[in-house]
Amino acid sequence: MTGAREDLAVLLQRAGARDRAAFSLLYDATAPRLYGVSLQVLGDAAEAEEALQEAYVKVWRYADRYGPQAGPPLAWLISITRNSAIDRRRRRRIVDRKPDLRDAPHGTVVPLPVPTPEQAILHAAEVSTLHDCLDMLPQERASAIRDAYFAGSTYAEMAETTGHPEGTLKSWVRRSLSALRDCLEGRGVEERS
Amino acid sequence: MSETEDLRDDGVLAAERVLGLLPAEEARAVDDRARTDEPLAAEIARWQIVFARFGEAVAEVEPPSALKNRVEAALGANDDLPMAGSRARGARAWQVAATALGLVAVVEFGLLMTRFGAPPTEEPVPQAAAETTPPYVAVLSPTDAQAPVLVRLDLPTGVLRVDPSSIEAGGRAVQLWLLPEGGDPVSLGVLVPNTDNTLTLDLGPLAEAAGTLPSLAISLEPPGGSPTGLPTGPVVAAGQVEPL
Repeated sequence: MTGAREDLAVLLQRAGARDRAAFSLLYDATAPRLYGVSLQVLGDAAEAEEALQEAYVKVWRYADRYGPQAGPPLAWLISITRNSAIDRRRRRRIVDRKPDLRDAPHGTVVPLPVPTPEQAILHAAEVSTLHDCLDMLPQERASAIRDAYFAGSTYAEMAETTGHPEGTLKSWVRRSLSALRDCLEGRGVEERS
Repeated sequence: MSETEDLRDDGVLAAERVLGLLPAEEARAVDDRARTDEPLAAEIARWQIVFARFGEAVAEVEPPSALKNRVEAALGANDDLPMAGSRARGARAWQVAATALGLVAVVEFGLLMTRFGAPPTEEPVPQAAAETTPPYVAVLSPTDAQAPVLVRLDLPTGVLRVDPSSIEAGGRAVQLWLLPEGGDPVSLGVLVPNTDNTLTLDLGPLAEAAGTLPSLAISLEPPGGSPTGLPTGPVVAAGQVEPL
């Protein structure tokens, strides 16, 4: 497994040096995983393909920013794919409302950044404990965070879909994120109620 | 309420930004701050990697085999654009592009750099890029299975180049739109099909959109263009302006 991970890092580096053959291998090794992520966000095969294509173009463009010291390569690729898919999902919201774009409150898109793992200096253990930490949250809250990750919806949109008041949502999402962060940093989960 | 705010340190704020929970103005404020606030930028990067774990748990799905060809073709479309790390190949194309498009003042559009989430000082600037500043591009992703449309944009001069050859217009007019944030779409003009269009834009609408990462879209309209001044036909491609 470590071998595969190192391979991805090497392939990314070579792609960063404009090596098309390395990019091709990188694509083969990661496309099913990343297509799965894109599908999860967009729920539509054609759109998921488009988002995946965008993501790989970004990977090609930004690969030279990736360094082997920078954290798991797959996580970097997943972040780029997920963010491309979310950006697309948000654009779709705009386009869907095309006839009255002028009064579409969601006609604002702030694209998610391309992750810069140079700054993350993540410990592998930290990444691997995410699920353990999520498991320690109440089920409903853990799955809400996962849903938010794949939906990219704002608090306001979440309030609209769930029927909960926005303030309540904010309050318990922030509580959950705070608990999650403490857990990731090894402070253990102290679920504040 | 105050308890909620108490819990909202930068770690939590960064997580909210990464998940996409924040409204546009707040998201932009966070991005702005992250340009100079390194710990905040690091938190954002960290949460992206941590949450990617959700993606690792998703089932793999084999994409259609034709997709790989499309991806590689899209890379080809990017090959003549200057790229950090490809100086040998990019140098000549870069000079051509720089001559054709003029130079871009990055300072004006510093906001756009937040897309990378990193303060520029963190990044070793490649020599080629240090001497010149890049133009902006928008990759307009088609809403069906065609190749994306690449738009190159020089904001100070308003020179825009776009080749809509990949759009099958079926006799309709191919119209390019600017989607300013929170405003009406602004027509940038009807494009000549199957050729490299060079337009010089009225910078008014673009200037107003400065710093807010405007989106562009292409719609199919009746011959001569939209009769209403707003898109009336199908939007066949859309994408966001970003620094190259």
